[in-house]
Amino acid sequence: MAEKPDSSAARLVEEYGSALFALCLVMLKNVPDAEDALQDALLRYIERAPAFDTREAERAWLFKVAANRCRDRLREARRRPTVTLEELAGLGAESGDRQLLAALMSLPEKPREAMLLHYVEGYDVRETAKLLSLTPSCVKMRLKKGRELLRKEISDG
Amino acid sequence: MDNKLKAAVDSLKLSDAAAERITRSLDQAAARPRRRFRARAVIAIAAAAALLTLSVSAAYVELFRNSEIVGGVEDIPEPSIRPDMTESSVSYTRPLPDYGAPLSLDEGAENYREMYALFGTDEMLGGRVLSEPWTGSRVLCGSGDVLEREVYNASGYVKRDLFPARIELAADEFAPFLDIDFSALARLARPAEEANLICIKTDPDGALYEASLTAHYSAGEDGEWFRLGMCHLAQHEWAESNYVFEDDWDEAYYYANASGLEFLITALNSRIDAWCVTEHTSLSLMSYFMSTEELEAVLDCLSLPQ
Repeated sequence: MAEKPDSSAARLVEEYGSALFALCLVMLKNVPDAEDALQDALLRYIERAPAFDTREAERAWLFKVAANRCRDRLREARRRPTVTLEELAGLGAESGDRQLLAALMSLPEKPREAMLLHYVEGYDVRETAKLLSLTPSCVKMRLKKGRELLRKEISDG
Repeated sequence: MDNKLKAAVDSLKLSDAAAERITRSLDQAAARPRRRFRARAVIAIAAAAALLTLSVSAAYVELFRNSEIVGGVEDIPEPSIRPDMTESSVSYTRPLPDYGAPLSLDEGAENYREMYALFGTDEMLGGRVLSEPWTGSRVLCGSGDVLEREVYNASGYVKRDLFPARIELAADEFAPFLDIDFSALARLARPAEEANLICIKTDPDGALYEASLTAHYSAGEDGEWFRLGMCHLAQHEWAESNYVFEDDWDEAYYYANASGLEFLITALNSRIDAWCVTEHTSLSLMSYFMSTEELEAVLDCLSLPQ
């Protein structure tokens, strides 16, 4: 029988805060927006999360909700300033990673989201498709497009 | 590249100050009273056609409108007796195994486009009324942006079918039952061609019997789409007690839209549905490949006339 795990704010922030924040930051390219999206996702967990059989299911649910929150905020946030390389350094990114992060953040929203869930969070194509409510073939197309654009961005940059 | 990408993103950390602030905010939110599922006055939703409906038992109905989210059969409350209603069954709806398998807009709109293509013939007259089939039709307007016909049956019921290129072209027809903010909706979605239908049924005395609307919209560049439905029962109430089980869905929750209408939203695989049932009017959205937030934005465009 699935049990609802400890939904205390401290546990959620400790366990998922940085991973969800990284997803939100790469999606939203703006630190305050990313923190707000993270808070929205965790708040939704506290208010609405179902019982989960496993921690993996809980984690997947949180990433799905956070990705949805990011999409919602992207509609409102297109004209806001985006994160700078200096800010990335302040958030812990090594110098060698910053150009790669900047290139990743320059990708269009949809391939960027698919690449984050697949390559960074480690969800396979089927799982990523489920998280994004897409077909696996659509996810594969987005990943292919994302890889091509990222290679081009890095080689041009 | 994959490992480098993961390492680069994993290096991003939530600052201690932000973690502390978010924890504090969440603690405050958690301390607020949480919403509970509750029985409400009047009547439940009819089961959606695409769902498997199982009759639990013959019983008097519980009184509420939207389907209730419960944990399982064991959580369905003992039905209560409403003196003015006859015996009815309590039901629950569960998704079939292939529920939410990808479906394109063209596939979803196929029946409506077929009806559109057969306009002017009596090949597809749109079902029955009170178990009686429609028997014939007369074209009122056979060209232009809004095609229109009258459909008849042997008992004297009449159905006026309108096939508008965009439903706003026939907004006057459904304005008494549903308000749509078309300018807001236009920012979210594009009407699909030849896939919109409005039906106004009158009884043999000429009184309104039922009004319904179906419209299809494309809602993105990657195949996202939805079908908006409305059905207003003028002469009786939506009468059924129905339940859904929380664990059947990726997500199942209530959403109060901008006008205060409460929708039950269920998400599974590629499909997200929203239902709202009032005493006489049922609203539904069936969507594919959309996020819950995108669907909620569409729901915010809907309201009921005061």
